[in-house]
Amino acid sequence: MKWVFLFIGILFCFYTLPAQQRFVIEKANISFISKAELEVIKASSDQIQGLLDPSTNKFAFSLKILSFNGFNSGLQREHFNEKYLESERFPTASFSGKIIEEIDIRKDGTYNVRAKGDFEIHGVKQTRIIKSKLSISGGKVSIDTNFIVPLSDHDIMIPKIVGQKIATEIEVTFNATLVLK
Amino acid sequence: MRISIIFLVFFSISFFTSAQIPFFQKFGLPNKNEKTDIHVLFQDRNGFVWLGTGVGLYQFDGFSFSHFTSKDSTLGNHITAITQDSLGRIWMGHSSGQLSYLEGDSIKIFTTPEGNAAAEISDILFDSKGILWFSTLKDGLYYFNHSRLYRLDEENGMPDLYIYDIEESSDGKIWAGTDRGIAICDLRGNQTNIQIINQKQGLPDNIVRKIKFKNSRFIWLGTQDAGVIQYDVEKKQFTSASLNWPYGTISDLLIKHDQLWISSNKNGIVMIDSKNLDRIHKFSTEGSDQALLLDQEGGVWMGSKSGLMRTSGTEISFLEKLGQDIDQNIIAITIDHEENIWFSTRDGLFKMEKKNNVYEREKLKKFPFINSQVISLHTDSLGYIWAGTFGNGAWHLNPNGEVKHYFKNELRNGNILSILSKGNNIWFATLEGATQIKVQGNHYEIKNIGSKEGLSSDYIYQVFLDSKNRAWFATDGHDIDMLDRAGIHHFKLGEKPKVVYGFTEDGDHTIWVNVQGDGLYKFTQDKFSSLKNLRNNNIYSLNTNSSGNLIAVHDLGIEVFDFRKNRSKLFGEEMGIINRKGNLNAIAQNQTGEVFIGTENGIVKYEASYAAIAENTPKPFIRKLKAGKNIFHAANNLSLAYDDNDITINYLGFWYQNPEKLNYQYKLENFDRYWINSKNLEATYSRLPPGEYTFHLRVSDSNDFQNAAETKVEFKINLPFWQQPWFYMLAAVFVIASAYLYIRLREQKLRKEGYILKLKVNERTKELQMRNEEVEAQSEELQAQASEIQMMNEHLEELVKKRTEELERKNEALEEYAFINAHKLRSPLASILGVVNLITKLPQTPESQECVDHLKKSADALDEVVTSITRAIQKGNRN
Repeated sequence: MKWVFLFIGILFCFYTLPAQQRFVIEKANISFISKAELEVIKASSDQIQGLLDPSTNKFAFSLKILSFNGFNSGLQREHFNEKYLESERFPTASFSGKIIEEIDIRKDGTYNVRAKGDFEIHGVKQTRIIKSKLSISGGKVSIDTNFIVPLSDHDIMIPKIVGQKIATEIEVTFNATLVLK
Repeated sequence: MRISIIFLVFFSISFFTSAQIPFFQKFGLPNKNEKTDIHVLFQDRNGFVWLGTGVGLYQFDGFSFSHFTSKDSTLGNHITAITQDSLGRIWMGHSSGQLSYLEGDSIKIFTTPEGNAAAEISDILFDSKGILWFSTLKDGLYYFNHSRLYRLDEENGMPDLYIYDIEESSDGKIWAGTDRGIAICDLRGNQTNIQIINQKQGLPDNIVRKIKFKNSRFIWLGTQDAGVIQYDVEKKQFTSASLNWPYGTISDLLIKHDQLWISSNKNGIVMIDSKNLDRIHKFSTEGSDQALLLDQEGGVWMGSKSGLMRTSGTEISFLEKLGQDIDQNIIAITIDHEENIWFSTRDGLFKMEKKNNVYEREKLKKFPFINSQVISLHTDSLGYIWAGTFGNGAWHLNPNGEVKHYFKNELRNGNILSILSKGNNIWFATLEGATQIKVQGNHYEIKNIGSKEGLSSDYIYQVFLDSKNRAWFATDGHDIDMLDRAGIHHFKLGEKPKVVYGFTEDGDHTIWVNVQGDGLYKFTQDKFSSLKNLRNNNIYSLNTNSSGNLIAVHDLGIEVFDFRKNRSKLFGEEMGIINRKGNLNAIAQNQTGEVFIGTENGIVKYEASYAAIAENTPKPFIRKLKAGKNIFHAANNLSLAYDDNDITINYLGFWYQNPEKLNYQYKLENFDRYWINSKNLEATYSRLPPGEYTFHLRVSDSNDFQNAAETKVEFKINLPFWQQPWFYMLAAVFVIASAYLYIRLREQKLRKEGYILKLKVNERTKELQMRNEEVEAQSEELQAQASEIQMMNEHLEELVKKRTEELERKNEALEEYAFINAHKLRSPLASILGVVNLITKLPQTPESQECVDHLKKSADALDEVVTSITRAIQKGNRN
């Protein structure tokens, strides 16, 4: 019988699996949009690292918050990093977990799956189920998904005065191509 | 024959949809300022309802809440699972991964040498073998057996570590709903065999959040996205309740008879009938992800962030949203054969079309007599609608609203108070007698009957046609008339004439009467007799439901009376029937047995959930017994000291549907002679004399205690110790013992003394013996001496005799001698002495002189001797 820290153990094993067994990100893009009454904030990043283990259907993705670009202005980017996401304190966002559906990632096809795992941003973890489209062809896995992040879920405080500039929920779009390495 | 005028009625569809909503009672938790998020609800075997919240554990008894929290910061007060063990203790699972249990008023942490789970506890249970199981969100399944904690994870074959729910099947296996299907764990000894049911087996959704066993064959599964699924264990088949489940993730399920209650995150509470999966009832309650609980009374509880709610069931529901634009006072009601509801208010006649179990209201706007007030409605056996007005006659309508015929002039009176029919035989009750209409196709045969024709009154409330084709007339103040083939018969209800509102015929074909203000009368043996079986006698409408039971709408609500068992159930306040007084004879039934009642505040629906009335009674519970300063919780057979005789017993009745309505009766056996009625939750007895007592408690939601459940607590007040038999015995024993001891001691002492004495005696005896012997010896000696002395004496005497004789002889000899001496001796001597004296005178020579002197002296001496001898002899003679 295994005891309490087994989960960490599993994650550890997962990260140290033999290289030929894993899909890793070849290219990826994540973008978000906050549609507030007075202001629309959007930005995107391609600095995403990620792994997908076809034997267990477990995955892990991480992203440097500071890599977000494409804000309307430098000031907006500064506010985003300093005031809201506190990127110095919480430099990364991550999502790691498992695919619920019983699919074989090594076989070609298109699947609508649910990815369940811990979504961490601003230092606050939430268990999320994110619906995604997985297209597998020629040994490549493409992931397409979009989801909502309620800011309150992650203790991201918005001063009342700028409430009209930042939506309480932001929409995130993510797509990536992974290759077996 | 009159030509029937065909009117076309136009419906104007107003978009008022009406779901049927049962009454949900809301409970306010004591901490009003604090956000209390209820995660789990549980009812223990006693009847208490327990709430696991984000701020600790709450206990609810229907009257008040008790709050339990832990001060341990690692344990926390975020309670996510509750169960009860075989000893009756409440166990809790915490979001911290720890388990705890309630002992007395304090929360104790359950510790194992193996530690705790690393994630939130999602469920706990004690299986039929008593093994504690608990599941976690992200840390697998655990069980505690033989004082050791075991964990089942992917290596043991668990499909996933994220487990939402665990349930034990009838064969003792643990079913776990996980993120990747169902794991069925079979624990045999220390071997666990895990079987998995997932998408590969056809499970529509891998995320199984809730498992409920309907029976050993059918299992309801609540899933993340695919709604509820019924799994047939035998056929290994899955049936979805709805192909496109629109209500979101299922967080809880509850089975109540044939109903499946579902807590969803998009629509609050949804209920489906497992006999008819298409009939989905949405109860648009506040809050999502509600925890559900079915209590022992059959009530359904819901707990969430928005608080705590309970409904007593779906027997009574309300057609909400008739539309705010119209008056809610429903004067008349009928249900057509398509289950559409026709009702009238002062704003007109309306039809509610039933679509997908929801009613859509339409107003029959261009009704020919828009200004007429419809006061009676009826659906005949062919499904046609009859609408009677106040003063303007009546219509015969097609189910689609088309007017088949309008009756006005043919009627003696245009005020149609009620319409009832049997087959093609229609009867109107009017303010001028009754009108009988026989329908033959488009031909109507009309006959008016009133006081002229022999009725007791012209004011008729209802004409009822029974199974024997008799027509019963409810008169206004003139009791009852009956028309059969023989004619009109009059029946008196009592001394004073009464107002009769209506009739019904029960499942055994007995006629029952609704008498104004006087309750029910029953027709047996050609007589009406009053029966005060109901809780209220102001009945507005009376009907019989599909199971043959009577339904009476009265001041307290809707009372269903099972005349066969003489038992009734009232659906009143607790079902939300408040300020909803029924209107006179505004009652209708559809073909499936649902009863609709027109009230002054909307339409109330009654649907018997089972053929019989649920036999639930309030459950009495003795909470504690206070004796002097001692408090005993749920104890029995107490033995109390003689001075702990001020007794206070705290009790309550579990009756969550309406605890305030409870009446209690108690009796202290051996003290009270009669039952004592009470509304209090406590009974006090002061200075009870010593004795054995049994406190009986019964509780009823009415004043009738015949079927009331009873509980008791036995206790004994002991005699003061000095009056106790044991004390007497002890005292007796003490006395006997001390006497015995005294005797023993004395005896011992005596024995000791005796011994000493004996020793002394022995000594003495010995001594004496010795002395004796000595004495004996001496005495022997003495005896010997004595005999010797005797002998000697005897001899002595002889001797003395002899000697005396001898002495006498000697004496005689001596005397003779002395005589001789004295007399014979003296004469020679006296001659010598005379010669000597003559010589002395002759001259002598010196020499011859001396010789002569000497001779004289000797002769003198001899003379003296002879004289003394003579004297002695003389003396002896004298002696």
